[in-house]
Order: sequence, then structure tokens, then C-alpha cells
Amino acid sequence: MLNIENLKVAYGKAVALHDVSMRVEEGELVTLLGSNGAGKSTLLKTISGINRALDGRIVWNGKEIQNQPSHLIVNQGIIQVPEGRAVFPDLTVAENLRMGAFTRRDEDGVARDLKEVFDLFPRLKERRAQLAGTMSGGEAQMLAIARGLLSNPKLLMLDEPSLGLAPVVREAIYRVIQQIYQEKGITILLVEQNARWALKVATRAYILENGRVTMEDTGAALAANPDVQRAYLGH
Amino acid sequence: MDSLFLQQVLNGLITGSVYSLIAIGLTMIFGVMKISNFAQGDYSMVGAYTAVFVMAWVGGWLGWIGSVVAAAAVVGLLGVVTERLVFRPLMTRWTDIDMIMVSIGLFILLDNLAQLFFGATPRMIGDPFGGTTVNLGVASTSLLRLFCFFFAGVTIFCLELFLNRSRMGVAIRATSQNRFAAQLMGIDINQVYRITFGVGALLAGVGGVLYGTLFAIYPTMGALPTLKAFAVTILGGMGNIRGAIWGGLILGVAEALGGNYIAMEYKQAIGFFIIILVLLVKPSGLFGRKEGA
Amino acid sequence: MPSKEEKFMKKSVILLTALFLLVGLAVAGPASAADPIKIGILGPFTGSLAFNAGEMKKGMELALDEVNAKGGLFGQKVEIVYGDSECKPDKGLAAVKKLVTRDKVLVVGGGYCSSVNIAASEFCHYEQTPDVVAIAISPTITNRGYNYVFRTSPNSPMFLMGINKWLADVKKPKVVAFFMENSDYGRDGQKIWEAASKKIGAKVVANLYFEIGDTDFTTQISKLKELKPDVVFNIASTTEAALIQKQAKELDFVTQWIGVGGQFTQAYFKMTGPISQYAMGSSLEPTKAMKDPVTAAFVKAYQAKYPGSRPGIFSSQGFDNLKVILNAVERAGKPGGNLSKDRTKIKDALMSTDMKLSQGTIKFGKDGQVYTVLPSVVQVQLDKDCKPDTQIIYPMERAAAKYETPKPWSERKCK
Repeated sequence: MLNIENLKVAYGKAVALHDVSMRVEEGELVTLLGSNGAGKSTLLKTISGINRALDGRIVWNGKEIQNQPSHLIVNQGIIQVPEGRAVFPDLTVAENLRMGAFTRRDEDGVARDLKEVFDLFPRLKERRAQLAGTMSGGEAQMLAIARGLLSNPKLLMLDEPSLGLAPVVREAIYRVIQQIYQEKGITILLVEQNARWALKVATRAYILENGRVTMEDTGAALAANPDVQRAYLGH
Repeated sequence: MDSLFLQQVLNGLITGSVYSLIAIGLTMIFGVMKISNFAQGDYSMVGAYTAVFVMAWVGGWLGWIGSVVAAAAVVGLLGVVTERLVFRPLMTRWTDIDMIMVSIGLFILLDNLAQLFFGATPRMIGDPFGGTTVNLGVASTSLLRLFCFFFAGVTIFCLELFLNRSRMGVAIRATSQNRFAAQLMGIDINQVYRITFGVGALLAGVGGVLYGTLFAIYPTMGALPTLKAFAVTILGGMGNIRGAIWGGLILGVAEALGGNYIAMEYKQAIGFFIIILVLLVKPSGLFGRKEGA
Repeated sequence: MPSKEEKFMKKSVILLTALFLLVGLAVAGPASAADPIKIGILGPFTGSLAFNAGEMKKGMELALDEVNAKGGLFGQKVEIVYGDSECKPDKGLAAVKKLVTRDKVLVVGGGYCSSVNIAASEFCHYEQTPDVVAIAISPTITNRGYNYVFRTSPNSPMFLMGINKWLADVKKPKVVAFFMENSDYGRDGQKIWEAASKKIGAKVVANLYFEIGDTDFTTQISKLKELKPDVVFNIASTTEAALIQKQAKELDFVTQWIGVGGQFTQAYFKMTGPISQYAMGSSLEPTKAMKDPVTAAFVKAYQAKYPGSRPGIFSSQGFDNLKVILNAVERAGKPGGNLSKDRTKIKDALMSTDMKLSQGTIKFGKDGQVYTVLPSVVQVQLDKDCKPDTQIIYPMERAAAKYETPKPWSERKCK
């Protein structure tokens, strides 16, 4: 579905990604692990067309999409839920959701998805008229995910969805992500700090260090790897 | 309250409504593109000259309303063109301060072009209502001034409708709050820039017709509204549209009351003094968000 | 960490300053040709007074054409180097410094704007360069004993003499107010009129100032309306004076407006239309003095050069100013190349000026002030097509019309 081949990205002279190759197949939940500054967010931003690829290819269903403007990439169903709960603080919850459906013209489909999203997050339905900036961290993260779902994603890229959340809230977010993956069957590319959980749910996982892919395997295999255990699982 | 007080409040509100209109365009452009456009007042100047030509051609109140429409179209288009040709090519590569210099360059260019084409002689638009005055009991003013106030209000109302109800309007607000997230929504950022600049210039153009109707029209007339618009924008919070609306009205009334009760010669300074006070207490402006939001 | 807004604030303050400095660079003087006789002319060629300065310039270029058509002076072409003051003392000073030190002009002429000329003339005096002021009216310019400083037009006491007599003999106001620009022009005029008001026993109820370039006068007019003065002395330039008339009408305020007179230009009447009816001032309008053959010849030559336009007071003052300068340069003899000697010779020649020009006879007093040009009192009156124009109403021997008392707006026929 998504194939990344020999991708190179730099900020000025600082190279952020060297020769990264990875793939996500339809129906997979692929986890991307790595320490801070390893290049995970850069990779997602490059897929979304925010950062420029200097070299290499990003192939989506057989078509090269690297360096297309971001709105065209969103149009093809590659949706990113950015880290830090980047909701629009001065827009209401409803307006935020409406922005999620910005590229869509199928009003009926949007209405149906909105209903499903409200079933998934009853809290958001109650708070439709509230400004997003006044919500708690967990609520804002739910809104960010809900907004992503309204974009009608074929591939949903989640960047650190549990970052900075209280344990109870984090569990709720995990449940929702699993629900999205299992019940809706949406392909997911997940960047997550909590390696224990992320490897458990992943079909496959990649480990990114200093802008390079250093390991690739099934989630279970990586969870059993001693190096990974030491670096990411705290053993 | 004595009638002089109310009269001064009315005077201030009328002038302030025009400040608001010009400042909203400035604050929108800043909010979305982080460009401080020093040529904003010159868009008003172009709008005012558009009115001079339309009024010479049609005249009367019909001509005046036609002027507002024509100025909106002409200056809106000018905004789109300058965004595309001047600002956008430089935006990704240049720093904020470079962009300010670019806008100052544009301001000088437009000033000098106007002096070349229209001459330095100031002009006034005749009163389309034949100088009818309106007595409101406690205060009096001309029908023309009331009409300018009304028109500023209608324009702001239409803008609010656009920003709150239309898909593109909400996208503009979203982009000004978080450009990155807006891009991830599939919003075409260049289209947002184009429309923001067009609408921002359009508002300055309409404001220019009102400003030119209330005051006089000459090539360098844009400098004062630019200055006021920056003051209003800083007062209301950079990038904050509601802040610009209230900031304009507050500045207008503060100048009128300060001039009347403190000292006329410091009328201009009083407005800026209030701004300094506000910034000391609330550095992000009256309606500004705290840092980080 | 400072927020984006705060950083922006700091930048804006710096930039606003830079902005106004930059505007000054937009208009620079032309480059010099080979060996011409160079005269520096100072004036607010950009900004809100640009069109008045343009009138002055048109008068000067008429005088320049006349001399160059005859082959210039001493076989050398005469050239004007313009310096833009924007009517701001700092800009004016920078411009005059450039004219005197870099362009090395023989004489500085022109002027306009008292605050600028007070500063510029002091500089010229210390640089021993003759400064012949054309338009500014503050008495300070010529009363400091600077022997390189001259003025070819009346100062404010002379300008206001006729009005003061008219106030004492005819109008006799009980309550007066002042409404003037915050500059030397405004403050000097206020001083003179305040003394005159005291003399005739009128009560001064307000002293209201505004800044040059202001556009909104509703605050001041609302206050004046509350105080109901018989006469408001309005010391303002063309644009501001026109805006004040317009806004007075919008706020339904009637008084006898009296200005210095310089505001009554073609541009003023075009802006105000019939609104300016009844306003008064002093005038040296050349077209009102066509009985004088020298003035009539000037008007004719001006209209030949600029078809369709009518010379106003500034065109006439500009013309006379350059004529006086050229006459002195000619009498001083061919410049020998030693700039400071040449300038001193011209200063001496200026002292003995005696010419008959468009404003009248020009002869300087010991202080460099011309005392032989005296304005008349004029009032704006409307013809049967509602077109406004000034008419001499005082002194009686020169009067072409009678004084008209201002009527309420609702009773005026012309809208």
C-alpha cells in the first residue's frame, strides 16, 4: 500500500533521515519506535508532504507521491493525526471536526461518519459547541483522532497519541485505537513512546535510530529481542 | 452624563469603526501568514481613489455605494496580485523582518505611483446625502457619518458570516491557529493565503472609501491608517479579529475622550499611551491568547 | 521567552521609525550637470503639503524658464536643486545640509513651513550661505539677527495686521477660540491673535491644537460647538483647513472662521466647494490684484506656461522668491569659484534688493524681512453658481465686496 524507498530528508544541512526504507501493507498496524530526535515525526511529515524529500521515493498504491502538496496527499486518504494534540484552539469541537472533512464533498458520507465518530467518542458530542482550546488533554487527543477519522482515511498515521496523558486517559486512547483498527479495518501507522503496548498491538514494527531504520520485524519478535528490551522496554 | 461626553463617544465610535475595518485586514494577514503588511493603508488609498473615479462617473448615493463595491473588487484583486507576485515567492525563504521590509517597499512604490498618476493635490468625495445632519437628541452628526458607521458594521458582519459559516472561512481561521494542522486537514495553504490576502486587502479598500469619505484623499493618506491599524492590532492582540474590532472602537473613543478631557494636542498620543498600558498589563493584547496556545 | 507578539512589538517600533525615514528617501534631488549656477530650493515636496509646494515650484520654474531662455546668467545655465523637507524640521535640516555641503548651491531659497525654516535658516547662517525664505511666516525666522537670512513674504504680524484692524473696527467679537496646528506657524499666529483679542476685550475660551497630517477633527469641533465662540481662529494649512470646514458642517457648527489666508488655494476650493463660504483670511492672491501691471504680467505668463491653471499665492511667492535670488546673483557678479566668497557677495547684493514683483515691491529691512508687501482681508463668497472664491472686504479702499455674516447651515442655499 505504502512503500518508502531510500528516503532522504534534511533541514538545511542537518540530515534528518538517511536512506530510510519501509512499507505498510493494507490492513496492517505498523509501529514506528525510536528515541526523541530519531526522525519519526520527520518521516510522517514527509509522507504528508510537509517536508521535502531530497532523495528516494514514496509510493502509494503504485504511484509516486513524494513532494506533492499536502492537500493532494490528504485527498488520497493518507491522514496524519499530529503529535501534541494539534487541534484548532479557537474553533469549536464541531468546527474542528468539520475541518477534518475539509476535502470531502460527500455530505451524506460525512454525516454518517460524524455519527459514528460521536458513537466512538460520546464526550465530543456533548461538547460540540465548546472551544477546542478549553478541553482537557485527553479530550483534545480524542478530538484530534476523531478529526482524522472524518477525513475518511485509508492510512491513518498517529504521531505519539498518548504523549503527556494521565494513565487512565492513555488506556482509553489505546482502546479507541484498537477499536479503530479492528472494527473499522483502517490501516494504521503508529508512532508511540509506550513500546510495550505499541509492540503488542503491531503486526509489524520498525526501529528508527539517528535517521536510519535499524531493525524491522513482527511486533512480537521485536518485543522478545534483548536489545529492544533494554532500549525501549526498560529491562 | 453630559451631551458633550456622548457626542465625543459618538465621534470616536464612527472614526473607530473605520480603524477597525482597516485593522481587521491587517490582523487577518498577520494571523494566517505572519506578515506585517505595512502597505495595508495603501490598499485603503487605492480604494479611496477608486471611489474618486466612480463618484466622478456616477455620483450621488448610488455612486457612493457603487464605489464601495468597486473598491472592494479592485483592491481585493490588488491584494491577490501582490500576494502572488510579491509576498508568496519570498515567504518560505525569507525571515519575518525581510517580509516587513518588502511590505515597506510595496508601500513606497504604491505611494509614489499614486503621486505620479493622481498628483499630489488632495481631493474630497462630495457628500452623497447633500449634507443632511441627524440629531440623535443627546448628540448630532451627519447622515453621511452615520452611514459610514453603518457600512463598516455591515462589512464586519459579512466578514464574520464568511469566517464562521463558510468552509473556506473556517479554514482561514484554522490556518491562523495552526498552519501545520491545517495542512494535514487537506487545506490548500496557498489558496488560503490568496483568499486571506484578497479579503484583507478588500477590507482595507472598503475602509479606504469610508476613510476618504470622512476625510480627504491624497497619495500619502495611507500612512496614518496604517499606523492606527497597527496600534489597533497590537491593542486587540496580533491575529485576533474580534480584538481588532473592539480595539478600533476603543482607540477611536479613547482619542475622542482623551482629546476632549485631557489635551487636544496629545490626542494622537493618548491612543498610543493606552496601548502601552494594555501591553504592560497584558502583553498579548486585550483579546490575545497566552503564549503557547 | 518573549512571545511572537512581543517580538513583533519591538520590531514594529523600530520599523515604524525606519518607515518614516525611508519615505524621505523616495524623493531625491536631480543630479548636477556641468557647471551650471546652482540654486537650492527647500520645500515639502512630499506629504500633505506637497501640492502647495508644487504651486511654489511652478512659480519658480516660470522664473527659471525666463532666465534660461535669455541664456542664463553670465552665459551659464541656472539650475534648481530641490530638497524635500516634508514639513518636518529634522528632514528639512538634513535636506538643507545636503544642498549646502554636498550640492554646493550658491543660495538656498524656497522654504515653506516655519518650523523647518527656523532650523534651516540657523544652519545657513552658520554656514554663511544666504537663505531666502519664500513662504514660512513665523517672525522668529528673521528676528534672531542672522544676517544671511532673508524673507520675501510677509511675516505673521504683517499677515494679521489687516485682520486685527478689521476685528477691532468691524466684527468686535466677544468670545473667541483658537484652533491651530501644533507648529511654529500655529503657535506664533496664536500669540499674535491672542494679544489682539485682549486688546479688543474678547474672551478666549479655548486653545485647541492638532498635529499636521491629522484628519479627524470631530473631537475639537464638538468641543468648540459647546463653547459657541463668535470667531474661531483656525491656523491650518489647506488640507486640514478644508477637512475642518467639512467636519464642521457634518457636526452642524457655525462660526466665523478666520485663518491666516495661505489655505485658500485652488485645491482648497475644489475640496470644500460651497462649504468654505464665509471663511476669512489675509490674502496676496495675484489674481485679485490685476490692476497692478507687474502682477497682471505674471498671471499672464503663468497661464501661458500652465494652461488652465490659476496662479495662487504660493505660485506668486515662489516666482518672486527666485526672481529676487537671481537678481542678487546677477548683481553679485560672475561666481569666481570660491564658494564662501561668492555666497557672501550674494548676501551683500540681497541687502540692496529693490524690485517690483508679483506681490508688490520687495525691499528688505535690516533684519532681512520684507516690509513692503501687505496683504488684504478676504472672505470666501459664492457666486450665483455656488462657486467659492475669495473677495477683498477690507481695507475699504481696496474692498471689492461687503462682509457677509455666516448663516446657519440650514439657511444656506448652496449645499
